[in-house]
This record gives sequence, structure tokens and C-alpha cells, in this order.
Amino acid sequence: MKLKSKMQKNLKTLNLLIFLICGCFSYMANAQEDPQVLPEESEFKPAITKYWLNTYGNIRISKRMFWVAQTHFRFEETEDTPFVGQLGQIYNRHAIGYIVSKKFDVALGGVVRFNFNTDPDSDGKTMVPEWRIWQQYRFAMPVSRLMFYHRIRIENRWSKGFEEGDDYIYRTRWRYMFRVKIPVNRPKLEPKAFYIGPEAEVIMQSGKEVVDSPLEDLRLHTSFGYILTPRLTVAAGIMYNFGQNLDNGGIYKQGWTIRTHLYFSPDFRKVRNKLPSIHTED
Amino acid sequence: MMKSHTFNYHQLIALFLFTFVISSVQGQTKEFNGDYQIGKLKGNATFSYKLRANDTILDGPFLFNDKGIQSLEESVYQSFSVEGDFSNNQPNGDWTLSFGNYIRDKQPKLVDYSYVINVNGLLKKVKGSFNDGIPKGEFIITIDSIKNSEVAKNLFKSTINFQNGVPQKSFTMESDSHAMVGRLLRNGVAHDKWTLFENENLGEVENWFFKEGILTKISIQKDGIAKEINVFENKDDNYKLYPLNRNYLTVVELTHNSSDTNKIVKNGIGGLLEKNLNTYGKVKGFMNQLGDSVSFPNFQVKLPFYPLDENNAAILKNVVDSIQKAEQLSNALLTNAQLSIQKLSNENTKFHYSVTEVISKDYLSPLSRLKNYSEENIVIHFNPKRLLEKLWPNGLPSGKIEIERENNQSRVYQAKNASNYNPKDVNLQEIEKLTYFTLANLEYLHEKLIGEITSQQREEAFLVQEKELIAQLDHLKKHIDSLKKSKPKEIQTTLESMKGFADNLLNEYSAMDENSEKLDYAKELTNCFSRTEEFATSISKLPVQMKEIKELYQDPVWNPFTATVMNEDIKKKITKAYENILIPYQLKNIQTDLKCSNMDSIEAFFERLNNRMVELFEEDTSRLERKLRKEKNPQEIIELFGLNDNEIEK
Repeated sequence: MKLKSKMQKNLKTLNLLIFLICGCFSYMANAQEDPQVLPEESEFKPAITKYWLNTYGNIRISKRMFWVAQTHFRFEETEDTPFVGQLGQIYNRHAIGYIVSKKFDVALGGVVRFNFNTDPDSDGKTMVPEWRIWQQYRFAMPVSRLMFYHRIRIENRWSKGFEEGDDYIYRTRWRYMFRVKIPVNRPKLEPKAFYIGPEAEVIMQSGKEVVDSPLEDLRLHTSFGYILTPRLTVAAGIMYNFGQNLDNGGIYKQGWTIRTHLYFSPDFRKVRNKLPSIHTED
Repeated sequence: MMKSHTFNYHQLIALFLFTFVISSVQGQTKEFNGDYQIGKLKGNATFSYKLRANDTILDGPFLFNDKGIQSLEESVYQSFSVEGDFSNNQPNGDWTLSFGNYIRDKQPKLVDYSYVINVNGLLKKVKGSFNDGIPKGEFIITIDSIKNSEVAKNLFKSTINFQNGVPQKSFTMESDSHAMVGRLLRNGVAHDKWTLFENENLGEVENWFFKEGILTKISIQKDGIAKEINVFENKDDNYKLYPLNRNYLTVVELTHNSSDTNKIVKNGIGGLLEKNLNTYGKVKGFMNQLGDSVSFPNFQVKLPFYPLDENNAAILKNVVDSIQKAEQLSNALLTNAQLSIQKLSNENTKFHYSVTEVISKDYLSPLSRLKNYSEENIVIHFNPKRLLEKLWPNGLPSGKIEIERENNQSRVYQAKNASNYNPKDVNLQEIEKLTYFTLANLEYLHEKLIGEITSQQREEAFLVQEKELIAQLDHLKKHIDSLKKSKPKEIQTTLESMKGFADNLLNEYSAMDENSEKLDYAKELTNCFSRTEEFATSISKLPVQMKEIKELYQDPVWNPFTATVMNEDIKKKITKAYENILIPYQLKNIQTDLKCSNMDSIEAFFERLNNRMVELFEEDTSRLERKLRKEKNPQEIIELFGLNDNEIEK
């Protein structure tokens, strides 16, 4: 029994040795190129700079329903120009929302995102569309004069690379965001109020292709906003983000993004119920 | 990529269907036929319209005319007929308007077995075309005199060609005795020779020569003698384009301030232009009551432009205010019958009265002219230095006033603040000092002369009444001071102006002759001051009313981005017109034009305005709001709010 256990132990050591030697060889052979091999320590790529111009529309269509219409233009740096060097993605997010209460709403809809090939060395396609179905649950909590928000988003995502022959891959995204809005010059969030809005969002992913990179992105963003009217708000801020590469969980991408936001919420339901005076005799 | 194409294709179909549905819903045209009123005209109208967001959009033929004579008993008859087309609420195509005001003959005549009643009066006709609300092609306006039911005389006729709303090429204007032809550049700018002919002998009697908008000279032929007047000739001047309006005619008149130019501008070409301006103003006023606003752009002309800097503008304002006070004082003294009598017997009164006359004539008179130019806003068209030199061609008066006596001796008036200005420098700073000098001396003379009216003549009744009057004035001022506290600035200024109003009335009173009328006036003023107290109290409540209106025009709205409920200002065009135009306009009126007699009507206006604001909150006001978008004129807004009619009814 003793011998058997000793042999088993030796076999295990041998296996480990062979694995390590093979690993070493393969690491030496492929060094940086092979993304499948985890580096010994996590590796952060240099941060890239980006600029996002985001519009958020919540168009009221009935007492409890609204249409979510968001369009984002996302630019990123080129070698010569930081932040706005080239268009990275155009992003259309639509959904039908349902107001459960003033403090809780849900939404379900689709996204089509146009991904542009920003790699100057790539001979692949210039643009590839990406498709998503998404659902969202948002909770608002008044705390003193501040407002806290929790947002959960679950997205079914189909995306593909730019190279010929690349196929769509499916992933599920799990997103949670915590946000605070702090009125600055007014006692509460109201027209003519400036506010500061810090937020943090973690985006996890799962799917067959996701082997060692569950943390897709962690976004830390603070914006400074101004409420022009109850139906129109503008804001601008800066965001730092980092997340694992899908191909290699040991490698982290990171970025600094300037973000400008336009929030609008028209309501076309208004019914004018009186006729102009000249019709009184019709 | 295929997928993406399919998506776009579907999107296009959806867009097409959406547009089709929307346009078919919006395209439903309705017809109106029945009683209709535009302004004061009541008649019968037939027109087509569409409803867009419950707003009436006139679209299609439009016909509006009077209902014919209602009773033979009425001696005055107004006939009218308006015919044209609208497209999308804008006049389009040919339009004919005619308005007749007639008085009927007293006795009917029998003509061919019928009783015929002849009428006399005026018939005004307008004929022209629009292209989407913009005047297009030839516009003809005629005013005919009707005698015994026939056109007796053509009193006025104007023919102007418009292209894209801009007057073009040549135009003509005619009166019963003269005809005028003028030319314009493609952009409507006056150019070349404008000529006035006499109808009888077809000779040229007057020419205005324009060079790209600048009126360089005027030539006139009178009794075979030609005369030329150079108008704007200095090429260094900074010229700007202005519409040819009444102000322009005044500037031309003043540039060469001779009796000739005065007559020309009033009678010849200038007279016809002014008549044309009046007539087009009325046509525009009428058309604007129908659909969207139309405008008939004026001819364009260039005028020198000398902007006043902030400092000079402030000086000029002070000067104008002081001149106004000086005029009141001068007037009070020179029209005082008691002084006129007393100066005959009292040497001192005579001397001071004569000094007042000299100051009013030599010092105040040119200052009054400057005040008028400033109020008409035409000072900006004159080089300030040249304008002042024109008013004081021989420099400013010296400040030394000597009055000749009967015995050939003269008595020198020791002027107050005489050394304060330099008579040789004619500039705005010195004019300001001259104004203060004039005002200070008139104040001194007022005090002196009124003091010289012997107190023995004052009756006991005066003393009692005046005591009450002064007590009431003191009370009013204290009351105003207490009301003023923690009120908005504009309300404070308005309340403060009521003190000035009361002071001015008292000044007026003190300048009156002491007779029974004055005693009545003292009683009237005491009541007026007491009424002013009530009026001030009611004005001091305006901020509260305005706050209530502001709160009324707020709608709680749930903001989906903050998940909170916020108040939204609604019908902002209406609340802005209320807060920023009507209230300040009426406050300004109080500050400048308050009278004992108009307090009731001002108070009633505020009450009507407040009630109307409450009504408008409930009403569908989309049409009103659209009209308010362009309208800044308080009078027009009062009309749009429907506040004028109430006043007439009242």
C-alpha cells in the first residue's frame, strides 16, 4: 500500500514536471504571441484614450410605458490623435420600458452595435455588426437629499471578429451599476440644478468562449451634470475602465474615456382638449 | 452584411408607412362657413382649414365679406371684401382686399322705378400676390374718394413690385395732384433718381438722388427756379442699412434743417412715402390677424451711424431727464398768470421773470430740441459733435445774463453755478453741465418768483387745504417707504416713482395761480395722494400675484433619469410675455405716465391680466404661443391676450 501510494505520488510529480516542462517550452516557443497561455503575473496593457458621445432618450408612450432610444458614438485614439482619432463603435440601444413605480422600472429590448475595425495592421473587414437582447431592472433610493441608483442589466450578446471566416460567438453579460446623484447648487434634483454623479459598474461575462476572462469590464465614472428642464439634462465626465482580454484572462485592457451625455425625455401624450375659438360654431 | 441590408430595407418600409399614415391623418381639410370676426370687422367667412395638433391651419380659398346693409336707418355703412388663398396657414397666390367707409345720402332718388340711395366716402383697395406668405409680384394699393356712388378722385395709389418679398425695380406712388417714380436695387436698396411729377403740366418738380441707398441730394423746381440741397455727402461716415420709415424722413429733414427741407419732406416725395408707409402698415396689421405673420419689407436706405458709447448714453439720459424738469419749471413760471400781473408792479419780479424768459429761450430751447432728438432715437444718425454744433452754432451761451431796463441801465443776474461749464467747448460733457446750470437757475428762479407772490394774498382756506395736502404727501411717502421693503427692484423703482409723481404734482400745484381753481385743485390733489396710497398698496402685491401665476403654470413631471418628480414650467411663451413684457411695460407706464386719472384703469388692467392668465392656463393656447414667439411689442401682446376688447367693453 505504501509502495502504491509512493508510486502514485511520484507519478503525480512526474505529471506536474512534464506539464511544467511542456508549458515552459510552449511559453518559450510562443512567448507573447500565444494568447492561450496565461502570463505569470497579470499584465495591464497601456491605457488607450477614448471619447464617447452618448444620447439617452426615454420617450413616454403611455402612462406606464416608455421607449428607450439610445445612440452612442464611441471614438478612440489613433497613433497621432488622442481620444477622438477614429470612430470605434456606433451603438443603438432600444427597448420598451415599464414603470412599475416611481422608484422601480424595467426594460426589455435590442441593441445593434456597429463595430469598426480600429486596428491599423488588420486587413479584415472595416465594419462588423453586433447584436444583443437586453433586459434591465433599475431601483432608485432617496437618501437624504441624494439619490442612489442600482441598475442590473442582463445581455445576450452575439459578436464576431473582423477577419474573413470569423463566426459570431455568443456570450451572456451580467452588469451591475451603482450610481449616486448629488445636487450641488439646489436642495434637490430639479431644473437649473448642477449635480455630481459618481458611478461604478461591473460587467461580468459567461459563455463557451469565456474560459478565463469573466471580468469583462469595470467602469469607474464621474460626471458633472446640469438639469435644464425635467425633460432635458446634459452631463460630461471622465471614466477609467479595465477588464480581462477574452483571449487571455491574464492580460487586462484599460482606458481613460471622456464622456458627454445628453438625456432627453419627451412626452407626446399631451392632449389639448379645447378647440380654438373659431371652431365654437362648427 | 446581408443582415444589415435587410434591416435597412425593413426600416425604409416602416418609415414610408409611418409617413403615409401621419400625412393622411393630417391632410384632412375642413370647411368653415358662417359668422366671423376679424378685429372690428364682423361679417361672413368661407374658408378651408386643417387641424394640426388642434391648431387651425388655414389651407385653401379664403373669403370674408360684410353681410350687406342691415338697415336703411343707419347712415354710416362699412363694406369690405377679402379674398385669397392660404397654403399651410400662409397667404399664397392672388389676394384682393377692399374696405369702404360710406355715408349715405339723406334722401333716396327714384331711378328706373327703383329707389336709389347714393353714398359718399372712401374706398381702399389692395391687390397683390403672395408666395408662401412672402409678397410676390405687383402690389397695388389705391384709395379713392367716392362721391354720389362713383369714384370722384384717386387720392392715393401705390404700385410696388416684390420679388421674394423684396421690393424691386421701379415703383410708383400717386396722389391726386402728383405722381412719383423711384427705382430700387435687387436687394430693395434705394438707388438712382426718384422723381416727383406734377399731374397738370407733367414737369419734374422734385428729385431725390440715391447712390446705393445713400440720399446724396434733393433737387426741387419751383416757379421755374431750380434748387439743389446736398443731403448725405460725407464719404467718411459709417453708413448702415435702415428701413425707409418715419424716422428716416425725420433724419433727412434735420440733416438740413431749413424750412425748404422741412416742407419737402412733409409734402413732396416724403409725403407720398409717409402715406405709403401708413397704408402698408394697416394692410400688414389686417393680414396678420388671419394666418401666419406676413411682412412687407420697406425700401432700404443707408444712414450714417454713430453709436453712443455707454458713458455718453448715460450722460444723455441724465441730460434728457434734467431738461424735462427744467421745461416743467420754465412752463410753470412763464404761464403763471399771477406772476404776469405781479411783474407789472414789482421790479424784482419783473427782473426775475425776464431772466426766466432769457434762460428759457437761449438756454433751454436748444436743450429741448436735443431732448426730442434723443427721445426719437435719431441722435445715432448724427455725428454727436456736428449735431451739437448745429444746435449751438455760436457756441454755448456765456452764463452771463443782463436785463435791459427802461432807463437804458442794465441789471446783471448773478447766475448760480455760472463757472461750471466752458461755453467754448461744445461737447456732451459741457452740455451736461449747461443742463444742470439751466435746471439749477430755473429752480432758483422758481423758488424766488413763487416766493415773491405775496403771502398776504393767500387765503385762510389755502393754508388749511395746503396743510392737509402736505400732511397727505408725507403720509404717502412714509407708506411707500414701508411698502418698498424686500420687494423686487422693479417694484421698488415703480413705488419710488410714485413719490416723484406726487412731488411733480405738488410742483405743478405750487406753480398755479392762487384762485378758486387752485383751491379745488388742492382738494383734488389731497384725494389723489390718498388714492395713490391705495394704488401703491395694490402694486406692492404684484410680486405675490406673479408668484401665484408662476406656480399655476407649473406641471409636476416624473423625470425618468433621476426617478424623481420635478416641476416643469409650461406655456413658457405666455408666462414670459406676462413676466418679461406685460408687467414691466405696465410698470414702466406707471413710472413715466402715472396720472391721478389713470390709476383705476391701470389697476383694472392688472386685475384683468391676472384673471386672463388664469383662463389661459386652462385654454388651448398653441396658436397664441406661436404668435407670441415673434411678438415683443407689448401693445400687440395685449391684443393677442384679448385684453383690449375687455377695456372697450368696459
